[in-house]
Amino acid sequence: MNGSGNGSTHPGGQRTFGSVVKILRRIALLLLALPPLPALADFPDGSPVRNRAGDDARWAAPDWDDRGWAAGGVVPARTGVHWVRFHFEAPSGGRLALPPLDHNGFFAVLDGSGPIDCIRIAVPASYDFFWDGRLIGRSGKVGRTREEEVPGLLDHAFPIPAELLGPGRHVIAIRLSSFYYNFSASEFGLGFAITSYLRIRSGEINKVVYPLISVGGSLLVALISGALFWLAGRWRPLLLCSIISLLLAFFYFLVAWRWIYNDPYDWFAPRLIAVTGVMTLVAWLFPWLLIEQFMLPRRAWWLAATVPLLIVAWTISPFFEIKTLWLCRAMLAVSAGLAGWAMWRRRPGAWCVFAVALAGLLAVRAGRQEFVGPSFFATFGGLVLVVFATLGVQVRDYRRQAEAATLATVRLELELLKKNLQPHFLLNTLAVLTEIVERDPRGAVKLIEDLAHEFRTVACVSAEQLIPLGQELELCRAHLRVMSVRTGRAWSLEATGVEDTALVPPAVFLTLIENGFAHQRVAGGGGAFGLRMERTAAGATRFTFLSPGEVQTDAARPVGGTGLRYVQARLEESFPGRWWLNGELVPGGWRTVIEIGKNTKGARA
Amino acid sequence: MRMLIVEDEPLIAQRLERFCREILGGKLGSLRVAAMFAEASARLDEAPIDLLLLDLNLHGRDGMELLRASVAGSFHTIVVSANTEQALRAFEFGVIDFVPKPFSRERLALALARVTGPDGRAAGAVKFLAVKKHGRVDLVEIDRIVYLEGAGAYAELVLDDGKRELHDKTLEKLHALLPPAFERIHKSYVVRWSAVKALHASEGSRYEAELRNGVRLPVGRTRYRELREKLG
Repeated sequence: MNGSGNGSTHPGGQRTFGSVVKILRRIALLLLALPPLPALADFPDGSPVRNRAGDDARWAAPDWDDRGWAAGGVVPARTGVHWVRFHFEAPSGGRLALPPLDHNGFFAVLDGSGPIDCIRIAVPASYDFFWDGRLIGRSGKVGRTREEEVPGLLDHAFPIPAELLGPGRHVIAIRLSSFYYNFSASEFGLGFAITSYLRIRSGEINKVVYPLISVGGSLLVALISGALFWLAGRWRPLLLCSIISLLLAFFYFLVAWRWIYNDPYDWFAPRLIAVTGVMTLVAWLFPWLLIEQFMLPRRAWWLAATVPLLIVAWTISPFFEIKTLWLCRAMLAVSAGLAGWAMWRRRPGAWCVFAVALAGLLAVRAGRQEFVGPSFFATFGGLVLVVFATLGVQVRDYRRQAEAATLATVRLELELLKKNLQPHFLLNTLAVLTEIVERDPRGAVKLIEDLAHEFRTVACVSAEQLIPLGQELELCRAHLRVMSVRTGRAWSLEATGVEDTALVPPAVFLTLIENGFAHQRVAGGGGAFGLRMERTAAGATRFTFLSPGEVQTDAARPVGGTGLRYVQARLEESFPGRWWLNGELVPGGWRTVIEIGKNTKGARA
Repeated sequence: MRMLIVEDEPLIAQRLERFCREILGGKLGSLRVAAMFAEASARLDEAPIDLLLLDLNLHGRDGMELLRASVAGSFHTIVVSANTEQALRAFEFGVIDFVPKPFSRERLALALARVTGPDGRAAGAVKFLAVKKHGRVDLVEIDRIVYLEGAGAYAELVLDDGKRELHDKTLEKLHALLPPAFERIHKSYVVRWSAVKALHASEGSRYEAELRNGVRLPVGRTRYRELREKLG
């Protein structure tokens, strides 16, 4: 209990005060540039702030001897009527100025930088306010019981009559009751600022600007991403972006609410709980959005891992703006982690989100005069914008991919039809037919039937992405019958272990047979193509196709020709990234191995 | 007439062979059939031919090389192919005809007539002549040829820059391939008509054509009058 005055601590001071005090204390800290408080020798404990339980109308008088009262401005909540008195000296012959007094939960600011005509009070209690014994303001109705009390508004600005502002000693007395105080703390401190009315009003307008702009921006993003979600393919990240933006708009609105509509003080705590709750939801949903947007695995794991972080953020401080700050930091940390992972996985736009999340983590602070500061709005504004922009780019890319995929499917269908209607095949077959018609009319009819069968099957399957293997084998055999007539040799297809119902892209094996005829020569009277199907231990399906005969062209040719490109394109179309093809020279012919399954990677040797 | 048929589909090869025998009759000296040109071409030196019927697929490098090797030879080439879209390209390289598959006897007879007939002309416009040189085949643009000089079983192409290229075909065969802008002025000379500046008749019934580059070439006595009229 030294008498140094400025910011001296009370040995018996409580550690937890009302959050209002904390907020208002920040106003004081902002104005620390003022000179130190002059020592008040009158009070043995150096405190110009005294308080006492009970009620006596005479306690408003400036000359009442309150030296026996308890020091400090912290009063117990919900316990009946209390009085607090504050003594201060206004210097003579100059402007009224007082250094900020931050005394054990009580603080006062005398801002002499402009004309002094007003006192601003934000106290979670109902009270009567006296200046040098004169009642100059009331908030609600002070009561000895809860029933008697009528809760007053949280924020007040009372004009001070000019004749009361002269130099010399002044005493401010406050008579209060706080039955409707509903923070969890059992006591709270008082604070006020003596300043100009205009200054108070312009300050309140400034406080409401950022939150209101953010409400508008967030609503716009919510509407646009919501509309995009409904119109452009129900892509989940867009829905999440819409929900998060909507929650942010609500958050900003709740922050702005205090300065738009002055609630009774008992609404203060519920509003702060709601604000912090909304921020908790945002902090939990935002990582989800990033997981969906960048298609990161282990969604449930990440979402579960974020929960303890948010719980820690809630318990880190009794003050809601600190809770909110740490909720925001937890969200930014998880987001930076997720965006970093997405960067490593080369997801487009991930680096933008990473940069903004990291910058936000470094920059974001709790507001000093407001619940949340400008850094908060900048961080969230940047984050939502960058995510929204990335989503837009992704939607565009998906559209392009979808168009390309449709085109590719149409192109493959055309390619297959063209392959079987190509002049080389069709006209050569007709040339053979002209010869057979003259020599062996019955044989000609047989050839026409086989040819018709092949064309019918091709027309049937060309538009399909996958067909049963049985149908594919039928197609191959029809083709081999035609080729047997054309080449004057016997060709066959020996299939082992095949399941007729297994699904394969159309004309894949037919193409391998055509490649065989184009690039290989068989000595003697014909040959047999071979197809073996088996299931690998890894759960993949392996097809081993053997094309008989000596390879005529160089060994590299059958791997890179148009036929094989068709096979690869069809496999990629139906099993993107989950197929594998290899061709190699083996004794007696050319072997092609195709593996389709979950554990194989798209590649070829 | 000595013929070679290159066709890998036996039934089509048999059909070609049958038609050729029917159309040419006694004019057909020898006829061989091979599945691939590579197999048959090795024996062309010991067993030369006058006409090749070639099944050609120009897709890919092999087809083009095969065509160049074929048209650079001493014999005429008739392509018999299903790939009709390649006909123009084949003509540019100097085939005498392109018979699309499937083909009739009449169409084949028409093609054979271009080779056997007295005034046989290629059915399409040649753009290049393929010349064998140092073991490879070079292409000479028709537009660069000023005149051709017969040299027994060969012919020399004389180009606008004075260079000479030896071609395996006879002057007759080359003349059949070349466009009408080339005129036979002598049993040993075929000249691009636009290169002729004047015709001169000198003593002893010797006739000469003076070219724009100053070269004088002999003109056959039987051809002089006709050429005189053509020059106007």
